[in-house]
Formats: sequence, C-alpha cells, structure tokens
Amino acid sequence: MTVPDRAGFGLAGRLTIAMAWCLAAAALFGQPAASPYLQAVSQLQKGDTAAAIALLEPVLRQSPNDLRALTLMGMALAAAGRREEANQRFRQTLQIEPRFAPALKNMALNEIAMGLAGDATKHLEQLLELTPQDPVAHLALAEIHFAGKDFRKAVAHYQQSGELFKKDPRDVLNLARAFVELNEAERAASTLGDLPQEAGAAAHFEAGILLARISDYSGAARRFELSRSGHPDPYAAGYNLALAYQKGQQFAAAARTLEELVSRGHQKAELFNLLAQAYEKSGKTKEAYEALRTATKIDPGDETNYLDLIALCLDHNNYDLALEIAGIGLARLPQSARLEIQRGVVWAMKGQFAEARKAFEEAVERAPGTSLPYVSLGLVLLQMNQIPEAIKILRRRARQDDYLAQWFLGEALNRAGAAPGSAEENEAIEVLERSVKLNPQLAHSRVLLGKLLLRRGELDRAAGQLERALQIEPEEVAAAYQLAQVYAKKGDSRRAREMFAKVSKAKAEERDQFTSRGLQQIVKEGAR
Amino acid sequence: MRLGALLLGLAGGGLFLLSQDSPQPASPVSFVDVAAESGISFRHDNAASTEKYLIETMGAGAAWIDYNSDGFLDIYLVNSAPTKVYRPGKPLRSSLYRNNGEGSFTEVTEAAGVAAEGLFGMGVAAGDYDNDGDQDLYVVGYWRSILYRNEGNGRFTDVTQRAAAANAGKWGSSAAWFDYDRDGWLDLVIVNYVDWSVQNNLYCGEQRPGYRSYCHPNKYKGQTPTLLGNNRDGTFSDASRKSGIGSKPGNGLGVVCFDFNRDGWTDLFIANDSTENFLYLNRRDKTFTEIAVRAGAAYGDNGEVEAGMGVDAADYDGDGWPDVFITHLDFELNRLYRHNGKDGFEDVTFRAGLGYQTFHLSGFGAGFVDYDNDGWPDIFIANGHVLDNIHLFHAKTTFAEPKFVFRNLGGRFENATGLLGPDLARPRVSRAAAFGDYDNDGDIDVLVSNNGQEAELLRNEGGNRRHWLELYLIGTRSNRDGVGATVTLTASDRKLYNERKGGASYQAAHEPRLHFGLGALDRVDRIEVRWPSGVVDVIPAIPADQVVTVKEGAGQVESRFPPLRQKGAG
Repeated sequence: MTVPDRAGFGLAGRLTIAMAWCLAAAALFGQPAASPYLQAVSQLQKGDTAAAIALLEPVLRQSPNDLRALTLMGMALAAAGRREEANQRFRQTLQIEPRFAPALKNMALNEIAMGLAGDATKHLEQLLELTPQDPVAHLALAEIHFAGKDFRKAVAHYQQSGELFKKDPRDVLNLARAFVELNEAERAASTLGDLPQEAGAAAHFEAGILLARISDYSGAARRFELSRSGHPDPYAAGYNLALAYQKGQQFAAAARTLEELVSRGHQKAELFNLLAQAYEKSGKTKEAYEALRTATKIDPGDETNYLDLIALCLDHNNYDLALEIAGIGLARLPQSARLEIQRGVVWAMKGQFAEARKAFEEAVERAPGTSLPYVSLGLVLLQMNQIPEAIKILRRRARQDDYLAQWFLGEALNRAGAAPGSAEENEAIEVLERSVKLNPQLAHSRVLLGKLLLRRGELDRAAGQLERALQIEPEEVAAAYQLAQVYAKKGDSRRAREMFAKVSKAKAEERDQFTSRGLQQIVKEGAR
Repeated sequence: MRLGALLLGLAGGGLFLLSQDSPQPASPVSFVDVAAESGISFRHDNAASTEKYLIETMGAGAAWIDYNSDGFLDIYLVNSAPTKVYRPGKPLRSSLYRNNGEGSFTEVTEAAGVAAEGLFGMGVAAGDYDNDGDQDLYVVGYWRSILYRNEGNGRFTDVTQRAAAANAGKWGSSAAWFDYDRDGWLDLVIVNYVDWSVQNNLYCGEQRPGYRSYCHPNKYKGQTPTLLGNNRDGTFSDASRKSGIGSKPGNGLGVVCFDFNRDGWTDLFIANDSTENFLYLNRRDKTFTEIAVRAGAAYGDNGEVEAGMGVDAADYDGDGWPDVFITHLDFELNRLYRHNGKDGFEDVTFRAGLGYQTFHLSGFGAGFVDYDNDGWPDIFIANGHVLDNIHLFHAKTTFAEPKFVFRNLGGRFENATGLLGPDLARPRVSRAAAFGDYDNDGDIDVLVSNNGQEAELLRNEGGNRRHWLELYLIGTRSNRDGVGATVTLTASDRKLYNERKGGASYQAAHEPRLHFGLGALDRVDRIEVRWPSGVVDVIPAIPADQVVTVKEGAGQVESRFPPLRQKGAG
C-alpha cells in the first residue's frame, strides 16, 4: 500500500489512513467477504481511489442511504483530492444520521485539509460528545488549537490523545512548544524526552532550539548533537551545539565544536566571535583575541566584533590596544556611533577625559536620536567636574522623553549639590519621576528618586520607590542601603536591620560607583 | 565662572560676606616647604623592588612630638627596613629631629635611641601612656611595632616586650592613643591592614615588562584591629576581642578617636580600604558596638565600598557635632559625612562642594585644619598614588601628586590649592600629613612624609594674620594628655568646638594643642573644658593670639610655648 500524499495539515493524511483501517475493520462485521463494499475498502487501502469510487457507485445507486458506503465514498473522494464532493457525501450521511461518528470524523479531517478549521472544530467537538475519549479527535483538535495559538487548549487535547501524539515527532515538538509558550519549562523538557532517537535530524534540531529557549542548555546540546548527522545545514547544527555548550558553561566543549567547524572550512564572523567567547571563558585570552581579529577581517562591516574586541581588551586593562582596535573599527566604519562611544569609554578609563569628551560629542553628532552618547557625555563631564555643562547636555536630551537621560539628569543635579527644597532638587525629582514613568523597570531611577525623597523626609514615597527597585533588581546594593535608612528613620528597626545586613553582605571587588568603569556598565544598560 | 563661586551661587550665598560669623575673604596664606633649609634631610626608603611587595607602597608615618618638653614641637619620621629582595646601601632608620627653637632642626635619633632599625615602619602615635609628663612614641610596623618609653632625659627605651605591646604578626598601619575606659590612663588602638606576607605575595597586573603592579588589598584577608588596654603599670593587655574592637576584620588604614555621640566617652572610626568602614561606639562598659552601616558612614552614598585611607573628625559646619572626612583613591570621591545631630551621618560630599574635584587624586594623610584662622575648619589632603606604574594605565595620572586644600566658606568648600603657593603643587608620593604649629606663631604647619622621597615641612606663612588661640591640656584625674577632653570656645556670637584626639588621619601623629582660628575676633569670651573624668574647667575672657595651658581642676596655668628665637640668639 502506498502512503497517500499528506495534504493540508498533514494530519489529515495520517488520520485518513487510520480511519480507512477502522472503517474497514467495522465493515468486516456483517459483510460478506467479497462484497463490493469490502472490495472498495481494499482498493482504498491500496491507494487506488478510482477503483474504490467505481466500486462504490453501484452500491450507492442501490442503497443511497447506506451510511458506511456514503462515508467510504467521501473518504475515497477526499483521498482523490475531490474534497468538495467528499464533503457533500459526508453531509449527506449526517443528514441521514447526524450522530454517525465515522462521517463526523472524516468530514472534520477533510475540512482540516481544506483549511476550514472552524468547521472542523465544530465537527470534532460533536464527535467528542459521542466518543469523548477519541484520541484522533483530540489530536486533530490539538493541532487546530496549536495553529490558532491557543496553547492551553492545544495542550489539553494533546494530553487527551493518549499515546497517539507520540507517534509523530512533529506532535511531540508542538506539544513541547505549547508548554514553552505557557512558561511551563519543566513540562516542555519532559515532553521532549518523548522524542525518540530516530526522530530525525530536523526534529532533534527543533528540540534543541526549544530546550535552549527554556535554558536547558545541556539538554539542548544533546539534541543538537543528535541533529548533526543528517541535518541539511551542518553548520547550523554545529553552531547551535557550540552555542548550547557555551551557554551551559561547557566552554572547552564549545571551543572544540567550533574549532571543528573551522577545520571543515566554515569561515563566518559569528563563528569566530563565539569561538572567542569560548576561548576567553577557558582562560585563553590570546586565542580569544586572535579569533575576534579574524572575525573583523571576515566581516569588516560588522561593528559587533570590534566592540567585543574592545571589551576584551578592557577586561584585561589593555587600554592602548582597545584604542587601537577602536581606531581600526572606526577607519572601516567611520559613522559608527557605538564604536565612537566605546572609544570614549576607553579614553575615560585611561583618565583622559578631554579625549573621552570629544569622542562622546562625536557620537552625539552621529546618533543624535539615541540616548547613550548623551548620557556618556554627561557622565564624563561630571567626572571632569563640569557639572553645569553636564546638566545642559542632559537637559537637552531629557526633553525627548528619554528615560536614560532623565535618570542621568537627576544624577547630575544631585551631584551639583542640589540643596533640599531648591529648584534644582525639584527638577531632579520631576525628571526622575518621568524616567520611572517611561521605564518602570529601570531600577536606578527609582533608587535615586528614593534617595532624594528620603532626604526630603518623604519616607513613605521613598520606601515605595526603593522597594520597587529591589523587586526589579534584588541585588541592587544602593537600593538596599537607602531603604535601610528609610526603615531606620521610620523606626522599623527589624526591617532596617535586615536591609543593613543585606548591604553588609554585598561586597564589591570592583569600585562600583560613578567611575570610569561605571561608563562600561552604563553602556551595557543602554545597549539592552 | 569659577566652580567655587558657582556653587556659592547655587547655595544662595556670595563669595564675600560681611557678618561676623560668616567667613572673611581669602587671605594671602602660603605653605612653603622649609624642610631642607631647616636641616631635615630625612628621605624615606620604600624598599621598592620588582617583586612589588605591598608594604613598599603604603608607608610611612610622621609625627609631631615635643619629646624634650621644651615647648617646641619635634619631628619623628618613620622609615622602612631591608626585605628579602631589597638590601639598601646603608642602614635604614627612622629619624627624630629636635626643634632647635629658632627654625632649624637637629637629628638626634641615635642619642634618643628611637631608630627603629629593622622595623618596616608604617604609622606612629605620640602620647604619654605612663602619665609621667613626657611624650612616648609608638612606632607601628609590619609584623611588629615598637613602644618607646620617654625617659625624660632626651632618651627613650624600647619597652615593647615588657609592655606586651608588639602587635606581633599584624600589619599595623595607623595607631591612636585614647582612654577607652576612662580610668585616666591612655590605651592604644592599632588598625591593621591585610595578611600579606613574602610567602603569599602574588603577581598582579599584566604579564609584560613593567606592568607588574601592587596588588589590590582584596587579594588578601583583612586583619582585625588591636586594642591594647593600659594596665597602669607600664604594661598592656590585649583587649581586642573582649572589647569588640577586634570582632571583625577590615583592611584598616586610618583611624580617628572622637566622641561621636557627645556622651563623654571616646568612640573610634576606622577607615578601611575597599571594605566597609567601622564606627565603634563606646558602650561605656569597656565594650564597643560597631555601627558604621546604620550610622550611614560605612559606605559611599550609593552603598559602595571605597578605598578608605585618611580620616578625621571635626565640626566643620559649626553645629556642635563632629563630622567625618575620609580620603580615597583616584576615581573615587573623598567623602564628607555630616553629623545629623542624632545618631548618624549624611553624605554631603556634593552639597558641601567637594564633589569630583579630587577625583583624579589618591588621598592619604588628611585632616580638618583651619589654616587661615578664619574659624572654619578647612581640609588639607596629602596625595600620592599607590601604583608606581599608574601612568601605563591612566595617561593623565602619575604616581606623585600635588596636595589639595579645600577652604571652608562656612559649611561649603572651595578649592584653594592654587592660592597657597607653588610648594603644594609639587607632585609627591605623599602619605602621612601631621599638623602642628612648630614655630609657635599661631598658624598650623604641616609635616608630610613621602613614600620613597624626602619629607616636607610646609610652614604656614600668613595664617596668623588672623587671630587665633591654642589650648594645651594637662590632665590630673584624666589621662595626662587630656585625650578625650572636649572644648567649647565662645567668642562673640561664635561657638567653636574641638576635642583633644590621641590620633587621627593616616599614619600620623598631630601636635597635642588644640587650635582655634578666630578670624577678626581679638578676644575669647569663654573656654569650657570638659575632661574625661567629668571635671569641667572654665576659663573666662582672655585675649586671643596666645597658647593657653589648662590643667584639670586648676584652670589656666602657666604656658611654656615660647616663640621662635632668632637664629644665633641664645
């Protein structure tokens, strides 16, 4: 027997075969062995739809209300691609007997193939009223709901389809995907465990993607490994495997995988970039550097690799090299604001604030619509003790409803020594409130706002902002510190003690404040 | 517009104010380095090596001490010692210089017996621990320290072992004398740094020639402070754990003893390097509770740790409460914590006008000192980086740095450095800065110890153009030095507060007299001295411009601080 073409959802094809067998089995009861009906069933199973139709026509002429013959004719017509005619036969059947389950089921499958999901859903639901446990109906409904992005219903029906969904890797993947969409990572991972080894490279690849989405990187790596033999895009399989290793902190394995890709002749910048990350995490800085240099040579037009190289140099306090890289990058991408900003950061870290300022001013010119150049410039002006200029720059940008600039303007006004109750303090509070409104998830604005409110004596408002900041960033020491003081002032000794203890525990290796390193962190914040 | 004037504009004030309790216009004061011409040839040897032992870059100390009780301040400068990898060409010794009373000094180290040879010295504290009327010396060092008892005849005796005062096995940085249990005898606190040793010395910095650097202190474990309780018989007992002062480790560098909550009992503030500062509150039962975090002075205003080095406490804004100033490294802020009048501090670094002005400098020895005698304590900072190859990382930063002076304008500060003469601008690798009026002319001079360089004696010229008063205290029931005594001086509508501290700043010992600048006021209406014993002495109205000696229970007594003689005069 040949396998019929899988049309439409593909499901219809699979289920039609099953239905044909079921119908044939039912037909065996009470039918003589050589009857035209049974012969039609046999022809249909062989895939000879024309023969099946030819056998059924005289049967229906003789018995036009024969439900099984009518349904079988519908199935034959559907298999022959004559779907509208098939539906007519199914409708005819249901007009005679609305509760004839095989007609309901096959009509629904035909409607699925025709893209009539709504009609199919109706008929499947009618079928389930008759046979609530019907796994085929549940599976079909699961697919319909999945396609319609109703993942909760899709999951419910997949689960009620029993073991049926496991027969097809695509169903397993769809169920897992549905769990992912519903943020049920554990159940997604568990479902993917049902994907058999022989599921095929593409299925394993997709499973790997899903597992990576739920941060199960070791699981993802296993699937990508399985996908490598037979996947039509061996690079993609290998790259994803390496990425899964990297994210799962298996840096040596990531490096090995990527080296293998390189040895097979793959020369993509992203590959060398990832390889650099793996090397660096493995303590091979020199190799990391070389890999990134290669990436820049392969794709000199991509600023990311230069930026990553600069970051690598900064991590190792090699400022001169970082500047050299910035220069090379800017020679190739002279309009890159991000590279100019990073160059400014390096200057600032070298303590050469005048040069840093020039770089940030240049970045402002190139990207006047983005906030990062302004806040970087504002910060370096603060550090140069040119506070009024910092305020002027940041005010300009803050008017554009830029939450980052508003935060920094608040900071600049605070650092200008705005006295309690002064116009500058009022302005600081106002811009910080606007920053919070524009981006409620930025903890820093809330922390500074809380600090100023505390200073004013508005303890409840201060507490509100600081508590929210800590919810957003539980490890934010500044928030905890200020909040501890609020609690102490409110006389809540217990909570004050808890907060002070939290602060005492948090120790900074680096000097985590408004230093030049703070510029790097701010660049990361702005790049999110 | 100059930054200082701009800040004043923001505060609603003007640069020139006319009321008596407001600061007067800046006067032409300058600091002139007279070390060489005064006969001070001391050059600190930091034992620098390619091994970058951390001890090389941290010292050393400087002290004012009137060792021969002639009314003139003498000088003690601390030196280092040979190490496993450093063998100097000649013996390394600390030095005692006797003030000749006419502007020059004579080295008398050997005669006095205070060379501390073999000690890799750090800080120094001067105090009369045995209440016999002369100043003894405690020289703090790496792995051990030395207690020199002043015999009263120009000689000292090393009584370390007998006194059980060695602080053995610890890297002591600064020390201070104070009477923690108010029994009338000075106890000693030593702040200890980290457990660095030759054996655990690490390679820090990049692996290329010239890029090896001194390590960050967090590469090592911090050490707990030491409290030596005076047994009143010439010996000490280690009260560190029992008192609570040794309860937790810190990377201690600077210390100041002062009465934080004005309850008459001396408290302690320790500046720690890259970890939270400590404020030990005296509970009056020979124990302390550490409260810096809840008092708001453990960290910067965002809860960040900073590299605390020098520290001092004084009432900078005239509200009667002691405020605290701490120096930090470059790319950090020097912090000013204003006392809130109740139970803690508020970080007013920006509001007081300090801000980013010293952002590129690494401050060590520092203190509140009214250099221009206008009645408002100014801030003097001796700077110097810790990395001798910093220029490789920060192009505009150098190992040697200029001094920095903030002039107090009545609660806000402006940068006055450029007005005070070229010697302050000369870059040095400064560490300790000790304040004292060595020429008895009524203004405060500064003795600075420089790492690997000559010491500086910065004579204040012009500060005494305004009126002043100095107070020397002699305890009878309280400790002889009067450490812990608080003084309130009233002159017209000004009230000035001060406190006799047995130690402050970084590795320095200041002179014992309390200095008051009086501005245009030529007389003092009242001086009230509250002694640790509880005795209160009141000195009624007296003219300004003199040194007043107050003896506990007896009031004003004869003073013995003569002016400098002319050179060549008898």
